[in-house]
Amino acid sequence: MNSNAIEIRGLVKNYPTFTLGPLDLTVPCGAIYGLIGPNGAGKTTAIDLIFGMGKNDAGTIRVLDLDHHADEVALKQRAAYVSPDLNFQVWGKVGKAIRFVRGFFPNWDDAYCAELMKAFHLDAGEKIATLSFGAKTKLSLLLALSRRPEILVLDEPTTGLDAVSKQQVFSELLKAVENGERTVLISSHGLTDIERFADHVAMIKGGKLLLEGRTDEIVDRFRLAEFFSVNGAKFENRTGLTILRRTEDRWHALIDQTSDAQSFLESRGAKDISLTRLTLEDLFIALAKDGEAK
Amino acid sequence: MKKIILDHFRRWWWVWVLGCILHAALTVGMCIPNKGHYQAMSAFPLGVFLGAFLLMMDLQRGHARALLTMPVTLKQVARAWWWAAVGLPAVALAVITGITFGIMCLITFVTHHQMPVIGVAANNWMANLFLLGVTFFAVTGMPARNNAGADWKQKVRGAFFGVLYGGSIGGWMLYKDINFTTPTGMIIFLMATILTVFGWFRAEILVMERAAVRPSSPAPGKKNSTPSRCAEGHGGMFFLIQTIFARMIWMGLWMMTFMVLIFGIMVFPKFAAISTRTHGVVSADPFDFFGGGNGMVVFQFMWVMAFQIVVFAMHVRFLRTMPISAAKLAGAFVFTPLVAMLVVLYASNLLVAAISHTSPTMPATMIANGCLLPIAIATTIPVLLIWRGIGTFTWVAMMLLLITGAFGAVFLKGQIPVWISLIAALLIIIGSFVAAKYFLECSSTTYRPRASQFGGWNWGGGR
Repeated sequence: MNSNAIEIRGLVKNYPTFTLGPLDLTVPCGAIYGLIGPNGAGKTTAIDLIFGMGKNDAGTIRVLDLDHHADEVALKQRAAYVSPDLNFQVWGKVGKAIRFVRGFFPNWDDAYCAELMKAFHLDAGEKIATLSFGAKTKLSLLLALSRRPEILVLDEPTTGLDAVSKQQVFSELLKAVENGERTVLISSHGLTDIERFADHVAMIKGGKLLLEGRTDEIVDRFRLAEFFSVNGAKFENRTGLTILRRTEDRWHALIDQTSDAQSFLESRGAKDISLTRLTLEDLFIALAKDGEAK
Repeated sequence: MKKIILDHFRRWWWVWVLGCILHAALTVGMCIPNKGHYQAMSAFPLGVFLGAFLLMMDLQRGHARALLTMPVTLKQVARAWWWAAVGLPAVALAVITGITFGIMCLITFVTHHQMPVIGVAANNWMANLFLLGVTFFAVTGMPARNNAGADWKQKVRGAFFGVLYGGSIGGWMLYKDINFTTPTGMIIFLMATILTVFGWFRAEILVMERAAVRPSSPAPGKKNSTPSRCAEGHGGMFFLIQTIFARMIWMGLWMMTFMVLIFGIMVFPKFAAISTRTHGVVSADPFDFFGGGNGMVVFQFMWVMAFQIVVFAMHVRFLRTMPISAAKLAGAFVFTPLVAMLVVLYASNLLVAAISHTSPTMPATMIANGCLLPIAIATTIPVLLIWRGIGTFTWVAMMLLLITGAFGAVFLKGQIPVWISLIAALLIIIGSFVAAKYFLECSSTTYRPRASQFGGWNWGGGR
């Protein structure tokens, strides 16, 4: 039995104006895995490919030891997808959408479904068209959780949700994964939430993987460095060092503490180097802006 | 106001170019002697796709809301829309008709036409003005968002304006049969004039209502507090097929009944008289009752297929997350509507038989008459939706398919040997299935969320 829930190796998907990959991702079983990246980074494409929505040009995706294409139906029996993008309106009423989805899953948990309906203030007779944006997301989550999936994939689940709804969604998510048997892959721009809930995180930019690892280790690895240059010394990007901005002799840079970036700066005449701990959001902004700032 | 009109035509110039070429080609067609097409082609419902239809495309993308943030008044936007969707297209199409007709007269030295060039152009202008005017009026009353959350009054209102919109397109193909000197003709003329004028005044309501719609806001509606049993019963794949089938049958029967009744009232008496005079009896083949108007049947099929399957195409993303293989989903999208349309076809055949007091045509005869081909062509619509998503290209391609399918049925009726028609139909159906499966598997780009064609759908979507 593989200890990884999702294994992506050398994944490539080409579009006329964008290429995802080559991408390698490993989502351990029982983890809450955050997938972050700027708009257009390739997060949704990667998730779509996991669910067989699109054909990869190269590489493999295995979910719970199943091939995402050859075992598409078996995979979808065990994995669920949640997104505000999903449209259920054709079913008319909440109950009919439940009826449709339930038909595919023999292990559908009616009691849990009723519990979630109560928690999310949804009614079977309610028209889907009259649901608010947040309620539609909750319905999507309800349809996913009630089937008791082994893997839950959430694509921007909190987009457009108010603080209360967001808290409700995360509280149900945490309840669903508290026994550690369920794996969650969550793509979100809510970086504070990702930092709080995800134990693993990966960052994609321009279709390429920038970072992957345990959230606490990644946050701990980087520091924001502020320093001054003397005698007009100039600094450029190198491994472990990302220059963010410069105001005359004052420099701001991102430093990977596992590299020799700090000693490099000192050796090149950087003075008064002060290091500040970053949040995941700060790190994200710094890395996302890399290339634009210079 | 001028800027809004210019902006409209600048954005839709390519649709206009296509439309004008098609319109000119149809006008050339009406000049071919000894075909009787002049009368048949004296009014094309093409104008509607260049008028209210283009406006609706803009409306569904939230254009009203964007325009009202500009330094223009409500009235200016309303007037500009009326001119862009009614006034100018009617004139433009009449000019194209007049020029093409005049050139054809010069080239072919045709003198047998009873009407002078100016008369043909004026006739075309009036037909298009009424068509565009009535459809514009219909658009002003259509629900600004998905009607699913509406109460019964709003639904009745939506249905009325929807019927008026669809009916005016279908009904206008019968323009040649309307004698405006008869009481019925005068009533139709009067109604069309009134509705066209009302459209001008209701344009402001249209702008106001559409501007009030926010793409991701819920439709207004009451919260249902009574316990519901709608979650009970079978679900899964069977429920999906049942839902597609029921929607197709319901809408298909409704449309076909409407068409049969229109034909029954307006065409049948004339047809019966000719048929009795020629053969001594009314045609033994009830489906032949549609005569040259078989294109109408094709048009309705494609219309139903296009607008019902769009609803499901909006859910492809959700359906792809369900444990359904691409082959099964493609099968549901292609074969379910096909079977539903065959049922509708046979049911309408029974209705025609009842009206014309003849025995219904047997299914084998109907297929031998080439009825499978237009339905097979309609199965390409789901493929188009899966391939290109719900965008401008898809809408325009669907409309072209609707128009060419309808006219093709008129021109090619009885000219294609049965075996060719049958083989072509089977190839198209199999091709649709294979292509739908391929596109479902190939890329999710098309069924990613995008600019809403329907109020309730979300905007945006990442990569």
